[in-house]
Amino acid sequence: MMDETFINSYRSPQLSKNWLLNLNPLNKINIYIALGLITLFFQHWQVNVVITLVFILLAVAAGRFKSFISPFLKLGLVIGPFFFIVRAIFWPGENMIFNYGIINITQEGIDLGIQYATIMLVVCGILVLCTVTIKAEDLTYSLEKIGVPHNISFMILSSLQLIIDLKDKTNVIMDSQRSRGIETEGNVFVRIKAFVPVLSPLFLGAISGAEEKTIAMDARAFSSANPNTHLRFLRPTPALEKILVILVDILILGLIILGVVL
Amino acid sequence: MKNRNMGLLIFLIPIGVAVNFVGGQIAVLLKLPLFLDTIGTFTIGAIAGPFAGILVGLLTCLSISITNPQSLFYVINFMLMGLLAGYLAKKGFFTTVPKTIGAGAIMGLIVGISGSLISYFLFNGFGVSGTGVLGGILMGSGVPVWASAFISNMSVDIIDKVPTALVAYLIIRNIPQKTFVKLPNGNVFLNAYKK
Amino acid sequence: MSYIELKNVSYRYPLAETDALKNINYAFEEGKLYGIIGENGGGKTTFCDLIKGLIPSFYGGDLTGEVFIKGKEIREWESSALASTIGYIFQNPFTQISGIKETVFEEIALGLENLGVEREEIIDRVTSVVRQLKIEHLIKNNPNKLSGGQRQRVAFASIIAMETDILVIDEPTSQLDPKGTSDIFEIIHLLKEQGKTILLVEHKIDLIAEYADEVLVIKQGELITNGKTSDVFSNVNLLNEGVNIPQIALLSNDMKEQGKPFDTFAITRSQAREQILKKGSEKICH
Ligand SMILES: Nc1ncnc2c1ncn2[C@@H]1O[C@H](COP(=O)(O)OP(=O)(O)OP(=O)(O)O)[C@@H](O)[C@H]1O
Ligand SMILES: [Mg+2]
Repeated sequence: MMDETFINSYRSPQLSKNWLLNLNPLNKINIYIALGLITLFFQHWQVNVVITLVFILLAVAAGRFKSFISPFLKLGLVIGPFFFIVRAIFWPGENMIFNYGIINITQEGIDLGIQYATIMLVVCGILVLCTVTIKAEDLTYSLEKIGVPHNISFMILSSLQLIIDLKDKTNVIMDSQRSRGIETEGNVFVRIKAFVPVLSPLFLGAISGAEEKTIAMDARAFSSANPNTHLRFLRPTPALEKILVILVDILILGLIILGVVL
Repeated sequence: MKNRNMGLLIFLIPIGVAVNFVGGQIAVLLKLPLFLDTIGTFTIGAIAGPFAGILVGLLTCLSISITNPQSLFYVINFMLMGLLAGYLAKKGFFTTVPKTIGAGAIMGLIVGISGSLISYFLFNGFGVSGTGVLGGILMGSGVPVWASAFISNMSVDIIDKVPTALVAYLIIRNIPQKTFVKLPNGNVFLNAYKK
Repeated sequence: MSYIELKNVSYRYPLAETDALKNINYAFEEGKLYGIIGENGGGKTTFCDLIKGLIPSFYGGDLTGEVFIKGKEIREWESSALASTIGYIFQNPFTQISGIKETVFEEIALGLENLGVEREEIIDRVTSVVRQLKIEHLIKNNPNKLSGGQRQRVAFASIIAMETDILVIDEPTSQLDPKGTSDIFEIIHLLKEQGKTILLVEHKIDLIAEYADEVLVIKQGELITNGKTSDVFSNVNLLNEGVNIPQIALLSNDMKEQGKPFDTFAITRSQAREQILKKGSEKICH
């Protein structure tokens, strides 16, 4: 049985029920980065925290809170404290709070640490938000719409798929090496020796596969000079959305000017 | 008819990206004290030239940033490695073991310098991984911030890039001739291995 | 004018010391299925790559002589025009999937997108191929998670959707199980009925006997024999050339040597059965 509803889904633009998810991917990125830029001009950690909260709210608004929060916390709870701690205990400053051996906690170090830790939270927020609200194929579609060649789309999408494929293969090879009695444990030299036999068949196999893929994709008119069409497509950006993005950008620019003046 | 080997480059670049990931993953699984997460950039840069190398570096940086946001700030470094691999390979650097070690050292040095500059100007001299702790310990022992940044970044890069170059060399040695004939830097290797 | 014509074609791969194809002359006619057989390393794949226009543009090397596709020399074809004239399918199911599409439906559409075909037409063509190949149940699946046999069927669908008049098919079943093989041959049968011109490399000799109109035997780069399938297989000496011969053809030959030849030389099971039934009934009549 042919699934007609599925086939019909290609006749209209890919839309979800969520307004935020429906924004053009490039507009999403624009908004996230513009928000992130605020941090650079205010230099107050409180501002950074507020922006981080805005990202969390955006994730909620996109209905993606669950998929956002776990990677965000995993990243943020490692990177934030890391950035804080190295600065707090090592940064050479004047106002000594505690000193023992190489540990040298100063007020300047702590301030710097908080500042950087919260900026990194904002960076993590942008990246995680991008991954949970933008599909790679939608991003490449909108890039192509603004004139990026479809070879670039291919490279991006293909990289993502190959990472998955090669990781799976790695696990298979690691297991088979172990079961063939090739040491993957033991001292450093034993383990270094195990590295090449695992990686090399994967890599060489992939290279010879690339030659075949060139031929296969050639048969699919990959090198065609015609402009290509898109089966799956996104809606043209509505005027309202364009206005929204411009407003957000102006607002943020205003905030930044305010921050610089203050 | 148009030459189709451009196509081959397009398919090799994603492989470089994926191999960077997988190399790093295997290094972790084997608990090696090295990153080995730029083997794809080195190899593809070396065989397919600087431009391909730069793209491998760029795409690797973008995809790795999803799980490792700090990397984003070092994007120049990722691309620099591809550029250098392609350039040095063209000069015949990946054709023998000693030259490969030389290539690794040169790349480690240059990438180390640019990495330290990034760390110095963007991150107060602290690297964003283990190098940050190393740099911190140096600062804590009274070494000036700029020197700590340089020493920590450079040492780590040279220690990692020489073995990375050697692995790339081993891979390249096993690439069949019929593949080399289709690659921008292929002639360098074909001529070197003939002797 | 012949459909595909090779005139004094020789080809040498870069760095190779001997020619992979040696002075080949042949003319293919429209609408026939040509079986290409011969020992390993004989040059069958090289022959296919040549007709697909990959030689010398992809492989490099020295090509002499001329190859005409629909009257136009191969070196003068635009690669996208060639892609919509000649389809190519080969053995490895894994490298023929693009790896950039999320559904089988989109995967099949990829070639049409590249050609710049409009959306409605893409949908029509993909839908109709999906029906023909009976892969309705796969269209929503992720092509990167299919089995080898399924991928190979999707690879066929992707090429068939491009509606090329010529199909070059190189060992499509060598990595498939018997079920996968029979699925693929069902497709090849369908293509043949649609009047496509097909060049098929296949080691499973019984399938060649059953489907091919003409057979070409390539050995060490030379076209050593060609002709109608039953004529080629009636020459048992081919065994000495490293070519398999269908068991049924050997049986027909045995009958001939026994002085009791079939009326027509059988090379497939159904032909043999027909002949045997005929002989049986003749006996009963006597
Ligand atoms: N890319 C290449 N570069 C150099 N020589 C090659 C290349 N591909 C094939 N050859 C050589 O050309 C000859 C013909 O190979 P080809 O692959 O065409 O044979 P085949 O008949 O398809 O064999 P098989 O049945 O194993 O598929 C062989 O000697 C092979 O080693
Ligand atoms: Mg072959």
